[in-house]
Amino acid sequence: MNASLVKNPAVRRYLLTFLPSMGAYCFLLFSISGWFGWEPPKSGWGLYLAALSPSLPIGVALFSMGRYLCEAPDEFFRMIQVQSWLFGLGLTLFTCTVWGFLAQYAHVWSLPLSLVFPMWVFWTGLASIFVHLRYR
Amino acid sequence: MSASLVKDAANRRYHWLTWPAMAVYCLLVLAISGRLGWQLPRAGVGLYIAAIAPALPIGVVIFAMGRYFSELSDEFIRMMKVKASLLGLGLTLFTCTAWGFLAQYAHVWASRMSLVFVFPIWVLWMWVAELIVKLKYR
Repeated sequence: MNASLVKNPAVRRYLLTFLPSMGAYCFLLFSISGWFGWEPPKSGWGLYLAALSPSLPIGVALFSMGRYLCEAPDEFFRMIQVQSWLFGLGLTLFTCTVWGFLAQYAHVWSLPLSLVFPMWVFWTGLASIFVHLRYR
Repeated sequence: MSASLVKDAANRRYHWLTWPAMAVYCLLVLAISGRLGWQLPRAGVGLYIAAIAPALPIGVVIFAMGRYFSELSDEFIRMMKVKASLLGLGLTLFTCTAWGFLAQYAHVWASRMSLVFVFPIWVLWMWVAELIVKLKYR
């Protein structure tokens, strides 16, 4: 990312929220997976709180992405982002439906729901390449 | 839905594609579930084709929505629809992540959760988001 982009307040605010939240997500995910030697409680509220904890930084990351989209000063950039996100959304919904039916009826491996967000990021990244190429 | 909206060409095209696709979807789900007296093949390519079949009308609905957005002549309505879709997207991704981790680590509805529900979850959240966006711009 170039220096002028980082000087932009909207980008700076986005990075200052997004990056720590992704750090917290990784930390919480590793924690509840037992990688740091800590085991989540076996039952009760503690178990549910521990299980839910990695989704909270994802909520913060999503909020920061939405805020960034609203605050971005460049209309053209915003339009490209919106198109990429919508293409990513369409592809994610279709992939989930295909995969879901395959898992349900043909008993192929089922992707956990927690991986829908990374799937959307993947499809949006791919879609943004095509959208950028379209407007080059 | 107001008469002027139904008269709108983009809206009409959207409905002409979406409702038949949803009917085909229901028919295919009923068929592969064995409710219409037809049994799913036990193995082979036939099984995979039958399993994927209901996803194709959903693909058509998603395409119809995308085309509807791009064909909308009213910029304000388009902006509201896009905002509702993106808000619905954010809420869907959060719901899926939370539910996914609950299923994975706390075994909440682990066996009942399926990726098939992601599309209905998004539709549900988009309706909620549309209400919020409409209230905001009232």
